[in-house]
Amino acid sequence: MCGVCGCGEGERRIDGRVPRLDTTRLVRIERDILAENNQHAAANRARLAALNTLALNLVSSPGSGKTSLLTATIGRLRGELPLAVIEGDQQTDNDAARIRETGVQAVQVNTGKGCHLDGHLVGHALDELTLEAGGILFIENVGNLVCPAAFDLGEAHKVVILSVTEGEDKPLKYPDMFYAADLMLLNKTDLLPYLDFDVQACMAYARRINPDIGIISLSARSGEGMDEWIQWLQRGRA
Amino acid sequence: MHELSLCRGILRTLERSAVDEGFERVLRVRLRIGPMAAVDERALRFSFEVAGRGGLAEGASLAIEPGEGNEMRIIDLEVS
Repeated sequence: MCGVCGCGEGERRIDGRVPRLDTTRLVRIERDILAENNQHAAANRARLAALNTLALNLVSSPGSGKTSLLTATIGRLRGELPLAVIEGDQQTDNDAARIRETGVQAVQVNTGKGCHLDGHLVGHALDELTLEAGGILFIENVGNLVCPAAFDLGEAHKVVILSVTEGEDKPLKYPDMFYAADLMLLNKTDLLPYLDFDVQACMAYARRINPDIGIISLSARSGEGMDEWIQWLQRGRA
Repeated sequence: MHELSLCRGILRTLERSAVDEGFERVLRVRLRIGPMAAVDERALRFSFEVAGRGGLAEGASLAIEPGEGNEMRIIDLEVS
């Protein structure tokens, strides 16, 4: 028994308060905090598998060129594969409108104050799409290198897009996202002659965080490197 | 920023457990969070306090243990 307050034997304390052991108890949970999101994601994954659809979760900071990359990608693959897009943004229908101009079906999801898409939102977006079997679904997440890392949407891969107008140390600054992604696209390489961006250092930082990450340098604008990206998509589809 | 939506998920789990296990108050929640889970502990504590107001976990304490990788798990609850 503790000589200071009397705790230990019988849990009687010197201040006279007896802990209410009779009413306090421990309940074991052992449950993932994201269990609910993961259930939605698993349902999405099953739906996509039934349609033999390759789903990719595109993540990046705002302004990395996700939507321009998507329209360029659609330009290459349209007619070859069934394509669909889910666009996530806090506000506006602008990105979905840009995709629809290409003739590909797109659903805009506005997260309001939310900083990421989740499995539940994507499930409802899937309800609005008419997916043809054997295609690719691109899910463009909210521009944010932090929060979307944690939420499985039911995708086959997270693809992180980093533009060379950002710092080469982004993988070190936002490691969770680069750890979660299977592929990094280094975009806007047409601008490299005007910048001090160190491509080799950036790749080394990304591999330091995630040794298995694939890396493709490309420019959606000039088309440089797009062939490699399209081949990656076709391999994923096969 | 997403810590608030994580806390809503935690609270839903607590509410379901309260029905299954028959308790009214949660006094303490023990979590395990990995270094790659993209969770800021201060933001999580703040969000838990705000999201928990008026519910069964109002005033409950959070015990956060280091986990592995992107682990994010509720281990157990102290309830009454």
